[in-house]
Amino acid sequence: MAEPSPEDRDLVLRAQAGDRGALGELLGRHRQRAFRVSARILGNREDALDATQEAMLRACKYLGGVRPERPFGAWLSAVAVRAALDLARRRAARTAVALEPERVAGAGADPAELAARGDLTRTIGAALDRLSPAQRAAFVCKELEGMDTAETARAMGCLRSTVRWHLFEAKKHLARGLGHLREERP
Amino acid sequence: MSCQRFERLGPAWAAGDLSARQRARLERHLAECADCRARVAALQAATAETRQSLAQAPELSAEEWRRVQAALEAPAARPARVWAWAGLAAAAAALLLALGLWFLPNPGPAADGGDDGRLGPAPAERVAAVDRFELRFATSDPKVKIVWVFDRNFKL
Repeated sequence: MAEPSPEDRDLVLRAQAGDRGALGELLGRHRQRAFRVSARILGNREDALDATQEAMLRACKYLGGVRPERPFGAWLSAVAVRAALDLARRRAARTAVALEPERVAGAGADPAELAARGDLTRTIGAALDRLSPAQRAAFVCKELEGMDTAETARAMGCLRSTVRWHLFEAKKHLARGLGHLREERP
Repeated sequence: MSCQRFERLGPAWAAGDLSARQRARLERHLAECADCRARVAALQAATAETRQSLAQAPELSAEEWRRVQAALEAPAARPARVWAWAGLAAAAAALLLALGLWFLPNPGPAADGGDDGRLGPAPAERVAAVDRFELRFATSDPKVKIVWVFDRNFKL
């Protein structure tokens, strides 16, 4: 695991001592990372904003347990993963994909149909839309956030074997959705 | 290794968690199974395309960050602390009430010798042994202890 920056370490220590200015600066430094991971998991801006806010609130609440010698950004990212998953579960919704407006239009569409039209962006959007929040979180953590399986499991609050299973299923769904893999019939 | 076996190893393969021995077995299998080679290639291609698509994640705007900051500053943003203090205060109030009832003088002869049953001031000799008492509270922070000291009249 990477070392934290000296600035982060100092800010964590000051924030833990009750310096709210340091806490604000610390959260501000890592806000984009928290928002990005939320957006990738939830797929739309408003939900991502809600999850980011929830992650920041949890960060304030659990700051006392943060170890200054560990990278704060990675910790906050894991908090954001859990906040995003909790939000997705609460809403019991398959996430819409749209990180951009045009992808909203692709949500719910048949990926194979979009692929046949050569619309790769919307095809990927529609394929992602068919993943469960947990499959999507496993994909985002492992493939985009650079977390290893143990870190992903901690962030998602599940076993490592469950992370592997979600990731494998996510990749299979994506491969089918993007037309790389034939649909398998039992 | 059968294709069924590949399916069982798939989760660990997808996560990059195969042991050296498992990896070697998988590579031997892929060398002789065209279906599984195609399958692996399909999963890898889909992963690469999706990664590329998601790499363009949106950014939190300054206005959106201000909204989050405002939520963090709101009193409701610190429910744990607020409720912790509320709980502490309630516990203290309950304890005070219990202690108050414990030290409450029994109805008895008034200081002037009357017997009207009113609650009069406690005779000095009855509370002489309790000139002051303390309430100590432990907090979640081991360095912080709260001590309330009362005199015999329950004054802080």
